[in-house]
Amino acid sequence: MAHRVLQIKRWLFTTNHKDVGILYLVTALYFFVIAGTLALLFRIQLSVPENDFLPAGKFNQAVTNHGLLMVFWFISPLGFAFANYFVPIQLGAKDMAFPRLNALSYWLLLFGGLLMLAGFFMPGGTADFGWTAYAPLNTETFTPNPGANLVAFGLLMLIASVTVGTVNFLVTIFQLRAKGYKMLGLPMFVWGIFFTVLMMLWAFPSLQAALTLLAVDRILGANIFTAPKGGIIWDHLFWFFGHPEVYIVLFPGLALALDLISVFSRRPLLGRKVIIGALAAAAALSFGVYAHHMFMTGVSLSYLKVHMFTTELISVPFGIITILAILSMIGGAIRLSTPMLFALGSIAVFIIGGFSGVFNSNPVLDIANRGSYWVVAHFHYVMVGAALFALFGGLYYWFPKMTGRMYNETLGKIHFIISFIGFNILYFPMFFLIDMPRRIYTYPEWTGWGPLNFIATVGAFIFGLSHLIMFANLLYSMKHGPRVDRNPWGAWSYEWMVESPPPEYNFEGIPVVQGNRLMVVMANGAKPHVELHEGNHLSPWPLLISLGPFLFLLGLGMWLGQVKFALPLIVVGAIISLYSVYGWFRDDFYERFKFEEPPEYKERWPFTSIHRVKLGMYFFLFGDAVFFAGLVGAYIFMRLEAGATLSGLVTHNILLGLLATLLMLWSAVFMYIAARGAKLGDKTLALAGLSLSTVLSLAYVVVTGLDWASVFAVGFTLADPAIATSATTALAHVLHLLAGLLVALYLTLKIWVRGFTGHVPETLDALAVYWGFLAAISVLVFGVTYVF
Amino acid sequence: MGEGEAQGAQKVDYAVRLRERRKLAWAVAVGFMSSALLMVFTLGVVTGALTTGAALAVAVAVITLFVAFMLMDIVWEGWGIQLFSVITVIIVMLLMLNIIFGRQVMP
Amino acid sequence: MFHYPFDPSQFSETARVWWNLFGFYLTVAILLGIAVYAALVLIPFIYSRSRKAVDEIKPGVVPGERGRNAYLAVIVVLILASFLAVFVESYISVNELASLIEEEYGVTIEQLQAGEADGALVVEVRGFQWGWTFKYPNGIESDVLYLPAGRPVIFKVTSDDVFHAFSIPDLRVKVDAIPGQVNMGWTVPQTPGTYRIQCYELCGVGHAEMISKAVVLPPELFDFWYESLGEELVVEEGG
Repeated sequence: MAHRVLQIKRWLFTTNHKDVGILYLVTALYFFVIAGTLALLFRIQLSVPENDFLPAGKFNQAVTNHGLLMVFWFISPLGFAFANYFVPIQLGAKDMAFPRLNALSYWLLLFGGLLMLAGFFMPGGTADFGWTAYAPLNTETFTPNPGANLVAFGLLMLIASVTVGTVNFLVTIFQLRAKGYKMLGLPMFVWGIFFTVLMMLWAFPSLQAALTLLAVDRILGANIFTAPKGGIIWDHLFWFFGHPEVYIVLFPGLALALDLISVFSRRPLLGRKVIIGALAAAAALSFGVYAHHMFMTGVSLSYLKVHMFTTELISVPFGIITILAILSMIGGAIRLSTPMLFALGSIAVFIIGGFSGVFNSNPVLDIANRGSYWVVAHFHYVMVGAALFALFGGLYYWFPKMTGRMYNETLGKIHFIISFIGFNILYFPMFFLIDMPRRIYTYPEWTGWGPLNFIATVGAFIFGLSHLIMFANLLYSMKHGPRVDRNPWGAWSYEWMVESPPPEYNFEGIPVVQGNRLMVVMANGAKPHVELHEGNHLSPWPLLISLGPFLFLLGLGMWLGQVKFALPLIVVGAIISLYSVYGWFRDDFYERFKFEEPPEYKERWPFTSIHRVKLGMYFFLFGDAVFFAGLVGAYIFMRLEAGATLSGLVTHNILLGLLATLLMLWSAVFMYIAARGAKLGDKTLALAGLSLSTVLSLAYVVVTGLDWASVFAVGFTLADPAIATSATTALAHVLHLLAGLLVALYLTLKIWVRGFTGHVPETLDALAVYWGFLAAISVLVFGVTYVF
Repeated sequence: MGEGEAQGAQKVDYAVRLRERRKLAWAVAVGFMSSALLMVFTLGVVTGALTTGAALAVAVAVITLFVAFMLMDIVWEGWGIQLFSVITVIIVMLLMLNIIFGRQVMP
Repeated sequence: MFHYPFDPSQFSETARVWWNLFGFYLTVAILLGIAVYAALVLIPFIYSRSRKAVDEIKPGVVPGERGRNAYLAVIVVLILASFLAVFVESYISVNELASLIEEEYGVTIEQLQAGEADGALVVEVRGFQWGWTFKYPNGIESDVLYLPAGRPVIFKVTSDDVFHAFSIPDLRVKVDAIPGQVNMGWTVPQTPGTYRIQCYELCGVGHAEMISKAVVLPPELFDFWYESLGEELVVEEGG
């Protein structure tokens, strides 16, 4: 019993990257089953013309949630399950750079997903506007379903999870490599995750901006997306995120397939550096191609041609990767084990997905493709085919490492063959349904789409049910499979040099890389992690700090949908949130959570002289810049396009704006001075800087509030889209500042009471950078929304 | 209570001291310079001297970047952070350019 | 009424341009695809049986760099070249689509963008939840779209509520209908007959039912209908 309680405590409070990885894995597969079931439901509906299995509303909800769950809560988290488990080991690290934040990003993901699912149980149903959630269909006017609010909240929690995870992975990959481990020597999977998180860093904030504006529309009754042409700004913000998102989903799987091909053909990859360069090029290009989703929205011809060009350009890096992957196998001793079969299957479907993608790059061809089943087939070939097959290959590949036991090879091969055939029966016919619109819940018989749809539905069941073989195989083998040694595949990377499953801190020594040799050296026989085996790496706060907002947002969504018992949930959620933030700070105050400091024997190029807290802050802010750019961009769009004719000069008092901006600026200067004080060990200077900065920022909040009060007092409302967007920007800025003030308060207390212990100087340094960023943003916001 | 302070004071060597003091002086200078620029900018707008959108945009971009690069320590960091900052600026510009030019010219 | 996706070129000018381009892309894709799939299938087949193969993956050793070989560069160049070919072709076709109407029917792009041209029929298309309304210059409002064969038609597309996408798939016409904005689309229908009009952007519960009819008439029949101010016509289905 006590053991079981300990087990429960371990899984709830864990901060160990391998435990978090397992949690990710189980959660991803859970959402896979739910989203897959939804898919089977609507495939039944579509199997014959004029079917009435699912009515239109239910069908749209199923389609929407299928898309959102598969993209955000299944494929990406499956990739990140492996990333959590294996990237630190492959780097030669004992954990992630921020173990508690790692657990936090898992719990935010889980509760975000649960929040989404809760939408189904709201009266009136959940979101039914497609995973792209085009405006203005997604607004209160056209989708009053209260569940849609929960979907938006769930996505916002997901974005929080992604932001935290992104920062964590970047710092980990940059600073926790084993001594001597050059970036170029890392396994392709780490490179895939590296480019994935880079894209996540800059892409997700754009979605965050779009969803923030949507929340303002839906909750505060603003008129942003319902303004004339207002929906277009959703397109921009969504697809600026949405195109990189496709590669975010694809890259972990694609990179993993490259590793698998190399290991199972016993040949190093051909042109490794070229492949890495191609991944980088594709990641960079992904930010400049998104208008191919908007070819028909009436954008200008020259703009359209630029995006046509960049979109076709992106076929070059992917073509290079594919061909090099295939040619790498020449001369190898190829073993067609299950993981290899999945990797080859992934490449096979990726070729079709890639070629069909080139068709979409052309505006003329897009006349037929846009909104049709051709597109459905194309992105399922890329996102399901290429990504899912490779990741399932990874599941088989790493299964012996995670459990210490081997799965049944025959069943694995049967799973591959059936799922590969089922997949193609499911999606290939859709290329021939080029004139059938997406997301229609039924179609008349005379369209002639019946037979192909029926074939696709048969394929869907074959594909869907084939995974039961995998679940059965793995669940059985987990307990009863034959035991394996460390390295059943003869692979080269670090995870195969440790026991299966790996010990708690991965290495029984210090990982060091000399030249191209990976080694684990013993430091005079002593185990360098012994002092950490005291259970002090468990923390309840990541769980609670996610549970609080979950309950709060659930309550808020229920309250908006006029469901009973909403208020108690809001109150309990708020209390848990505040208490868990307090708890987290208290742990830090007394330095109870001993997480491993990246020691001297770590490779930290190119950030050798930056502390990981500050580095993490930098990465967070680089992403956050895009969030504010999205909000400010929305304001600019409203002024240019959506008939918001009044400049900020008319609506605002520019002198109040100037005063607020100066206050913010000097608040940042004083925070910077406080950080210098901490570095110099000057307590008086640090405390004086912190207090002055706090006072000035509070004054900034007050002046900004006064200014906005005067705007609303004159009679301007959120019905004006320019007012609504600039008010949202100001609100986001103030909320950023308030969050920063919490940390400032904590630091003031800690310096006052305990001096510069722990990470205080580094945290204050990072906070000063944060304040500098907020000052820059306030200048930008002043310059644009008050003057333009 | 005084322990950490004393420790901190002892550890700080001369080079760090010099660097931090220089940073401090620069921060105050940036505060004054940006404030002055902001006031001039506002004055220009109020009096109508700065009327064209391009002039406004350039003024705002210059002050914003100035504040960001100085107060975010970016000028003091190595090339890694500077590279990431430049990429961020490019990506922000990409989003802005798309929003501004990805519009209809047709009626 | 149902036409299988391939070769719709006899139905309209836009469909002809589309089909030529689609054929080009498809040819390139199939040729490259055959080569790539042959390699993907043959290489594992051959080398899973080869006995002379060497094992170059050693546990704990970062695999060495390969591929300074010349054929790496050749591959890159080949891909670049095919990309360029596709790009040039598609660039030309975009211009072709925009200029075709000018060369053959005397309607300039400026007129097209302004939505008024002498030689062309201008139809105002309004999408709403859930249906279409078509308005003709002489004031006829109809929920069935009648079009003359062999004459350019300009669609001025807008929406009353949410995003829709106006499309006559067989004529290869597709334009997003966006509230507060008028988007232009055009085609030259060639073959009289009845065609499906459908919404291609999810627009709510009635999305699937947002189907209407486009009837392409011989010019003299269309003129008759147009001048009789839109009386119901009984047309035999064809095409």
